[in-house]
Amino acid sequence: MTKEEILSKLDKAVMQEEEAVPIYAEHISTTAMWAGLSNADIEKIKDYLRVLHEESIGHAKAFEKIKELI
Amino acid sequence: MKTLLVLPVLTMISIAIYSCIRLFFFFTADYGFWDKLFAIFLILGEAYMIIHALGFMINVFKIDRQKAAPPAKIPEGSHPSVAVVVAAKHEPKEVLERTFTTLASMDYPDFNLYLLDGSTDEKYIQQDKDISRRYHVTYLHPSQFHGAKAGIINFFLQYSEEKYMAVFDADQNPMPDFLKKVVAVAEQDENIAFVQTPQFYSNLAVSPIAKGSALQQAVFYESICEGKNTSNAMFCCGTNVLFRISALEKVGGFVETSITEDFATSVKLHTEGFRSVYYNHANVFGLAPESLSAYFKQQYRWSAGTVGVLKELLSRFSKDPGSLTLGQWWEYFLSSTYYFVGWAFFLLVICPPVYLIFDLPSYFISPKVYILTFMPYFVLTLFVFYGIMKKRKYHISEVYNGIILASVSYPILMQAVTMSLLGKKITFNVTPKGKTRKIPFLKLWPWTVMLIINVIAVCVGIFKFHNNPYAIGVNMLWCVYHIFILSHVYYLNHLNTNNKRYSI
Repeated sequence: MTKEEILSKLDKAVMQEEEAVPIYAEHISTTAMWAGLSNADIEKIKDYLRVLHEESIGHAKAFEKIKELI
Repeated sequence: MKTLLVLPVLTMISIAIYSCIRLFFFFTADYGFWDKLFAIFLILGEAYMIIHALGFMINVFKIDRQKAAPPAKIPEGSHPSVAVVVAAKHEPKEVLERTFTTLASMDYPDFNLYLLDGSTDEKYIQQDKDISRRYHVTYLHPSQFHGAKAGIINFFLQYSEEKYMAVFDADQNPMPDFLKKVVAVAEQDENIAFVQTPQFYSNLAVSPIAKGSALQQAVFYESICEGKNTSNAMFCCGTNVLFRISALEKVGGFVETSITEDFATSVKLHTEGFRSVYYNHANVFGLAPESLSAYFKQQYRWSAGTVGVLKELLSRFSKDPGSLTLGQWWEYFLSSTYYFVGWAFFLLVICPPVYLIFDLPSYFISPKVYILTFMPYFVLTLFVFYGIMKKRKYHISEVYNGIILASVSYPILMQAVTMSLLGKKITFNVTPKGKTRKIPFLKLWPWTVMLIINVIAVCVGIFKFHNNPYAIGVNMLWCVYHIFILSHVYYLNHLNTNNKRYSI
């Protein structure tokens, strides 16, 4: 794998962490109410999705640091 | 589960009994010309409802009996190439960016992204080119094409080298495993022309209209489509679908003469002997119409398009009835006549006021027979419908939103169906995303006129009540029910949408 290919893969990873994960989280969050779950379970799911969203921001930053090293 | 199997059977029996009794009284009752005329109108409206209720029950019965086996995974290194195509025209930047973010994030080893831009406004062309550069999308702007989306896709097919083509509307966001799942289904059989998957509306918090549309989509995708699939009669819904390009090429590409090109193309593929598959286990999220005007535009386009295909279907049936199986003809008949529901609803709404105001009866059944035959049919149909919705975990308020929204759109459906039957040209309208203007009060005149007629009928009914309490009472109840339904149009039209489309 060339340096350019690694950078391209890292770009995609950053994009997924920064943009895609929040989109998936939003969709799952808004449609979870139709899954027949209790309100308490839906709130738990939303909490986990918020954590996932926050951690994605951290992951994206880590990928950016790797890109700088390369 | 057993209850859900028994109930459709009981409902079908009750429908059959009611239909026989109703027809017997219709043909044997001794009434005048005008009475008979309105009786024919009412019986046509009822017949339509009964046929479609029956079609729905049969589908429910079939899906409870048949469970599709999951497809085998494609071995690593042998994934066929896929062209992922988004046909767009004057789409908001935010909507397109979200779509390409999810498309670019799909977990599949061999796919290429294409934006087929039908925009004519330079501002949008520039915006779409910028988005394409950012997401490594091949941008194509066909300068000359016919038939809107169908024309753009046919233009693309001339240059495509991939084995499959996945088509998405500009607002559709697939989950990462979409292609892996759907291509595996298509790879099972070379005769599969396309694999259709559902869409889930996720902007539910925006307005009750979005919520109601989402419920309607759920009924369609989770019950009706699964039933159609068992008869190899699932048609393409235009988005979230994977096509085998060689199959499309064999039938000469997408049909460009219809505004619902996907439906017309499906008929063509089925009559050529290809198979279609409905796969309900791949998730794609999209945007529901958020305002009443957007919802009406969407319904107008779908109804005009499917009725246009009905004419072609009837012509084909008369020339070559063997081109489709009986099950396929039945399902296509149901699909292409679905939007006549506007006319059916109109006939059911107009008959009670006609009786109350002009003393023209249209329903020739004695009270006891009415209770013994109509009520079981009515109650059982409702039970089955709510049973399915409950099984699918839908809340009663969502079901209510969906039913009201479908009911108030009847003048739009009547207009679209009539225009289409008369062969009047209907321009293609993309379902508007985001907020749109409210419909001016004067343009709501069909609802207002019908409301006034029903209110007058109730007032007349009060004065005439002592003449025939039972018959007048029942008709007044129907009028009050229709006033209740119709009055929702003003409420729905003046709803303020919630700006926060998504939230975690």
